[in-house]
Amino acid sequence: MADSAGQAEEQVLELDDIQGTLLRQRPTPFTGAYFLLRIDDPGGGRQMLARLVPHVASATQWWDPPNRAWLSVALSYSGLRALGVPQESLDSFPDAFREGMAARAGRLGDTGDSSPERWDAPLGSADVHVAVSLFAPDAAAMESLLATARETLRDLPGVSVIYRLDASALPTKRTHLGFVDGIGEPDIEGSGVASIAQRMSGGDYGYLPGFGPTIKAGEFVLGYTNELGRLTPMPQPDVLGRNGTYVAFRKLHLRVAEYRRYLKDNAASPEEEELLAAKMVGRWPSGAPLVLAPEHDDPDLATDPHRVNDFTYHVQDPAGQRCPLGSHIRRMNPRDALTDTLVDVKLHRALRRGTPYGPMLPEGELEDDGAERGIVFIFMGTELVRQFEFLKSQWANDGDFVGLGDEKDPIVGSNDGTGTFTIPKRPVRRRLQQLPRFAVTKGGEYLFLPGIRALKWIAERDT
Amino acid sequence: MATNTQTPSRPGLRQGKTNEFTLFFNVKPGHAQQIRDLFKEGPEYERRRDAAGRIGTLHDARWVLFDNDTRLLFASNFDGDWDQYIDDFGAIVPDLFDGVLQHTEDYPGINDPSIKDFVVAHQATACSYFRGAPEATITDIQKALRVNKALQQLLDAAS
Repeated sequence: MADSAGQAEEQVLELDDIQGTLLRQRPTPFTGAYFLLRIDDPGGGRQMLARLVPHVASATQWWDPPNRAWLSVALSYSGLRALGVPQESLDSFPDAFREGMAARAGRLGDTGDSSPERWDAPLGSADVHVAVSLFAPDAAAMESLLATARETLRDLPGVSVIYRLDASALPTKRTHLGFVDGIGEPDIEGSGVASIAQRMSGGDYGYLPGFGPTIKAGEFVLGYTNELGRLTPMPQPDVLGRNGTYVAFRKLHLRVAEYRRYLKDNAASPEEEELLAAKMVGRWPSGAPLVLAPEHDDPDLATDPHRVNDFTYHVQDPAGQRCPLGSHIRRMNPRDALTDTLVDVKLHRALRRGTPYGPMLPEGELEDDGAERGIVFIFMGTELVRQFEFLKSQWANDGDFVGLGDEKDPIVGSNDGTGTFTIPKRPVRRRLQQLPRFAVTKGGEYLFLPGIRALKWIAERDT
Repeated sequence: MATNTQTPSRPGLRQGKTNEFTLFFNVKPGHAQQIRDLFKEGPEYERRRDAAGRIGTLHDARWVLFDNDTRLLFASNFDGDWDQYIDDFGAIVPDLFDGVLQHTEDYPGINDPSIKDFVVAHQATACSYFRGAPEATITDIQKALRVNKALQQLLDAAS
């Protein structure tokens, strides 16, 4: 119903007002850093914001700033308050955002070692007001961008940097667990979304096979029609909400040595270890999907942008004989696997950016070296509850939606050493036991990523 | 019994994996018969039953007209939190709820942004909630039935 209405008239996005980080991919390789700021003086905070705004990349000119380096700015609920945004505007934000990620820990599976009282300070506290992310293709461009960012803080004693996390592509261009990441992305109406696969094909624009149905812009940008055929409720006034979106920022520590040991303990050979890892993820380390490459990795397939993502489940692999029902990618984007249920997958898509932090654990090392390493996970979308929290609670941390009972995502699920992972197989399925938690939440925030006009509106308020 | 239940973020008691969900509505004067007519057997009724069967988290559901047809009860048991899926219901089967609830007072429509608040305003939490198999979701039960059937066939073939 929403489809027919949507196809009649494609929405035009104000790309020059939307922050580039929302709709655009980073260059590879890249180097990046996240900064968290606290604002003790609203006037100083607004002045800092006013100085930052000219450097915030939009979705039209993101590839064009000097050195192809760019910067984005997001604000927490307490940050909006600290900047002097009026109470009636604050009240117009949705409950989940106002409560913050730490308050939602129960429904996100952030319990035990991942519970907010164990998070790295200041993550999850009311001190986190502004988040600034910086990305550049190399160290020199990053240095020049950092100098620009430092300049915005000059002579503003009421604004302090309280946290810095460097996060850059690893030399392998893979995650700490050894996988190419970020292949599947929703195709957003009017955005020219560019996945890494699209860039491999030589262009930033254009649709490639496997990216699924085009999703209405309002699922990812406020001020446009969403998949329910209406405007997502937007913070007020209009200038503040329009072209913004919500962000779930998470720092996830990856227990790489434990992951490798678990694979080794459950496999009889290095080949079987690689197969188990692929079954858990749903893709081989190269990114080749199990649905298309069920027996072994296929790097040629992985580097062909027209094939790497061109698969579905309902007909090609209904029982998960190739890609297990409970594998990571099948949970996070079930494509057409839920066709026989009432779930509308278009209502539960996520725009994701994963960025590794910390040094690599040397290949083959099975003992933990105590280093902090993991992934900065960024979710972006207009409905934290219907998108991010739904994905976490229904698809990552539960298995009922595919008849797997309590079984959780084997990679990012809130496992505790008692869980299982089922690998469909003929004649008898295999079930891995006592799954530990490999991704431990070290902190997180719900943030608002305003449009560029909205940042100016906040900066220019005179209270 | 209430001591062994947990209260989720919305009203309603939970035992194990399932929530009770009880709603009360005021019927628009003279509309009770139209509600009854909706449930007359026929292709429309079958279609709605089929849609309900695909919800995947719904154990059972009943509509009851009472107080001389002035009030309407909806009582059901859901696995997980009902509000997680309400947008899916609204997007795919608006008439499953709309058809009935349009005959009640103050109903904004399943696609209205305030629908969750409307539901909560009409929900009454049970004093007590008991389930015979609290850990079994409807998916688990259907799977167990399929497995048992296959096992019996296997045993029949072997004997």
